[in-house]
Amino acid sequence: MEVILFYFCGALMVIAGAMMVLSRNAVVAACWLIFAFINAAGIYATLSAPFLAVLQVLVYAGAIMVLFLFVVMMLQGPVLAGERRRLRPWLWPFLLLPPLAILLTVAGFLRRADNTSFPVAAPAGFGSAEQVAGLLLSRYLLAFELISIVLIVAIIGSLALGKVDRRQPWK
Amino acid sequence: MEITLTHYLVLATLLFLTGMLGFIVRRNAIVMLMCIELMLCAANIVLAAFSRWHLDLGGHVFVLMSFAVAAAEAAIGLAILVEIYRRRRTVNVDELTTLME
Amino acid sequence: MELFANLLGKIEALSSQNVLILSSLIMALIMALVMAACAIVFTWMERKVAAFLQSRYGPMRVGHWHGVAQPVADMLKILQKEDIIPAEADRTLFTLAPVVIFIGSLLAWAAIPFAPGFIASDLDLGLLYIFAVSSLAVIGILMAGWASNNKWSLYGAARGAAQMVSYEIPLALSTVPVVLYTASLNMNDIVIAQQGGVANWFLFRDPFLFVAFVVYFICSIAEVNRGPFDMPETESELVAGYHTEYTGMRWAFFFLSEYANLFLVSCIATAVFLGGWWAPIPGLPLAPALNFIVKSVLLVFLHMWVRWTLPRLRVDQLMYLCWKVMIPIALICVIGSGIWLMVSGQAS
Repeated sequence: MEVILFYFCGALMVIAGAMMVLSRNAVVAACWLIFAFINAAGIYATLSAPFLAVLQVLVYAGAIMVLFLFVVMMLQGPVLAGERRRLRPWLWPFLLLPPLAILLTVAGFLRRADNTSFPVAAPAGFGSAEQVAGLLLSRYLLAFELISIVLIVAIIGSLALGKVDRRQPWK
Repeated sequence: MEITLTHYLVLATLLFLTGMLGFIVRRNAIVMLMCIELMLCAANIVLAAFSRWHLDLGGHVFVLMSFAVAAAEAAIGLAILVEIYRRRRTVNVDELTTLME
Repeated sequence: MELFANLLGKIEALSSQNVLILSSLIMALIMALVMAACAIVFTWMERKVAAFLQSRYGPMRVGHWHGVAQPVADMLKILQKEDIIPAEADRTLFTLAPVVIFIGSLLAWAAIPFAPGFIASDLDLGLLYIFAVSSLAVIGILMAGWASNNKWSLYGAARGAAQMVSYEIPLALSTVPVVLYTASLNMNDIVIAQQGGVANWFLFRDPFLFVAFVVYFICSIAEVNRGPFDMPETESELVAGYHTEYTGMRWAFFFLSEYANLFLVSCIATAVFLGGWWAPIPGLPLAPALNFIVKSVLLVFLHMWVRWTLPRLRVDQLMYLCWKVMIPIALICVIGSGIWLMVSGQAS
């Protein structure tokens, strides 16, 4: 069951990621990315991380990507003019790196027979909301508080950036 | 057939490289931000996989932190892009070269 | 209603056997049927309630009694409509959008406990799952509004997205006090914790929970985009908002999900605040599912009452209400409920 889920979601996720990069239309790219993130939730489910899976859908698909879609739709037409422009020559070698790395990883993956399997079955309740929250509010309390400050700063920062100066309405 | 740690690492590598390639190739700043999100997601999968490997929930906490950072990054990044668009009427990174000249 | 309860009872017996896949399939089918039934029953109900509140009769002709067959006639009419896709629309996204919205509302039904044991998927994170999945509908709305390539659609979608994303926060926050009490996000646990009569319902456990319920109700109206918060589809400003360009069956999908969502938020309120399947007085010989459905339908009636009574808000007033009124009140409820729990010694 988990095997099927992993291959299904993983394959869809890679395809969706590739389609995001390939689609010229930014709105379509955002939709593909949403699809990739929903599949990532499936990947988390196979890792016995249900809490992360739900939060992945809630935070990424439900909030962050809505923000992206919103901005893409408001800013401009779907296809950016000049998107088709050729890449700078000095960047060309870099284009070869990812396929090379993909080949290397897959080759290495296929060569090694003794892939490291997970040690034991996950204990009951591993990755549940209680356990993660328990850790979050004890051992990682400081980090938890700091991340809330990061979020507050982000809110204030984006408000300050997005504020239109009403005294100069022509701007 | 069994799903091993290596499977997850390969998947994360593929996703990360897809995101990286997109970041290099695309000229639309918003799509570049999306590619960053995809790379972050790949990193999250690695964190969750190693968390499962060590049976230590610390990795899950890091993923939660990463969610928050991604949200903050998206909000600030998009706010900056909106502001840039308001001034320059474009989000094409090839045309935003004021600091380069 | 009796018939429906009987049916539920039969399925309940069936799903108690451990036929996992079969029972999930049957459950999924039932949930889809529930959604369809919602649309059919509530369109008629909405017309009748609206008519009643405006001193009219409403539909009276179709069917023998008070126009009960009106939804059937409507459905037949919708089926015959021409399926139009605007020439300038993005075809893929245009056809995909109603499906995304529909899936978003169908998935959420999986974690609603209608009766003891009658839950499609007894998730540990049930409440969080419902909120997560129902947030997918926003994406469908944005897709529909953008793909239509029509300024009214785009305005409607933008308003809808802003409104739904904003109101999700107080909506989820207002259920946190209940989670404080139950120490569980499982919908079954939440309902079981309210065993006994009215006094044990979370609505009346402490004053903060009552306020939280009011916040939940107001936010749920905004979440399903109905009046007085129907900014995404204001008829007088935006024609019909994000589904302006849709016709026939595609439009029916939007319609179906709107009523399914309406029933869904009412079901969540019933399970979380109003004691779920427990009867108001303990020992009252009523079927659990019947209790649940009657309470939810009463809440739906309340939604309709509000819709046809109050005038529509402005967009800025809507956002003001969310960020400066609802979220602070919900936060106060969370803190107040926590203190109440500690002081009254119920904390575990």
